[in-house]
Amino acid sequence: MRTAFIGCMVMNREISHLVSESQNPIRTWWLRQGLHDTPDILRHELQRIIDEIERENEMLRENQRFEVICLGYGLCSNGVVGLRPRSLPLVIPRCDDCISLFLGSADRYRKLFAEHKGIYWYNPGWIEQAFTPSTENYRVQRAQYAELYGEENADFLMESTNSWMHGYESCGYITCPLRRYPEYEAYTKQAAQDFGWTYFEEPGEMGYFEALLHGPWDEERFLVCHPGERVQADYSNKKICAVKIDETEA
Amino acid sequence: MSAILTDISSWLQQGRAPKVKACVQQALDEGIPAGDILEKGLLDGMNIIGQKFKNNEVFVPEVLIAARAMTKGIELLRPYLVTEGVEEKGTVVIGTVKGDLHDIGKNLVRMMMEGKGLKVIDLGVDVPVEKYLDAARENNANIIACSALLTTTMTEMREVVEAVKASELNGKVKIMIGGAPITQAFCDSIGADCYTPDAASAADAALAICAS
Repeated sequence: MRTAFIGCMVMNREISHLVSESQNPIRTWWLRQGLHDTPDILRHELQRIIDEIERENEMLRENQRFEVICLGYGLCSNGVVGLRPRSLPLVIPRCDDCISLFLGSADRYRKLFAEHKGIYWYNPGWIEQAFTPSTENYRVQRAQYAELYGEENADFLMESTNSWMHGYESCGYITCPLRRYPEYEAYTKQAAQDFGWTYFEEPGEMGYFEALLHGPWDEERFLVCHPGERVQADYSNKKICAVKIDETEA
Repeated sequence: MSAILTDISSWLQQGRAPKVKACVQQALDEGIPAGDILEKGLLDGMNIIGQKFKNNEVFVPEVLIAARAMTKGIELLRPYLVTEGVEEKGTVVIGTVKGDLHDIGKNLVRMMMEGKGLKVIDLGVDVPVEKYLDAARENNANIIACSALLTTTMTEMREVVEAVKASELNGKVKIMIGGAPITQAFCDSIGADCYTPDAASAADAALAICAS
């Protein structure tokens, strides 16, 4: 099956590895990490690329056309809610966010979430692509606050925007199944020590990523949204569902 | 309008708490009623920042420092407001739902509500359902306000709504919800009374609920 994949840069290594080894031709589009903080922009970017893929598809020779679009996004702060494909099926994993994908299943994520009070997750993709808590990153953040908002506000802003840290008790390092990254493990252990968190390691898995790229897309783990439908939030562990588009809004 | 009130609004918009305090003191010294300093100085500035936030012209840090400046100003005004007989306009019990430890949004909403003259009981983060209800009973609250940042925890709000419906508070206490993943559709689906997309409109909505 010829597949178009749109993903967040945090999973670039895992997905790129699978793409290189896949029997199917897979083309990838990447968005920067952090768009979940602005879900409207994330939704807009995803729809823009979906539209672009579908438009371009019409220009391709028939045997080179994509047959499906897969998203490397879960609910991601509702960033996928409202998306609509017009000519290709759109596959989305049923999970809150990429942590479930890295861990191999949404159930495993939920179990760990329930067992630990406040886990900050680290993994190679996040350390490379995102802002992760570290003494150095906070030093930089404070300097930016002081520059932008004045010295009188810097400490207040650090406290206000990082107050969640007081409640967090652990930090989980999800290993990359492709290789070890001793420097990132050390980085995470250092953060745990600096912020008083308990460090634990969880082995990352490729299974959810593989299933996302290659199917079959079982109802339990994936939503397949067909042309004529759009993605809607579900508010259960299924996270998302597809609803028929009203003729008037089409 | 007095120049000093314009200064208060302007310094507040820049998040300059010490300047705001100094100007509030000066306004009091000039004999301007505390109620006017609040409405035409502090709240005027906060409303402008709230509007700019809605329009994506400023972001969370700007709103936080403005709200902090407002709070500092109100601390100074409070004894005068009491003397002038400006009454509390209602009581809100607020907290972040169980399992969720994030409080930037919740704190902002608290500060905005306090700015509007509401009494706010802040239960902090990771608040179990019963704690909301107990606090609402103890304080004779008009509103329970629930916040969540995570899609993993937002469904806890449904539990709060159902617990209130099943209790004697049903009909007496309104439930407001908010937070990054919350939408009007979610609010409708769980039967909460009110959703607002940002802190400024949360404060306005709470005021309207208490007045009704």
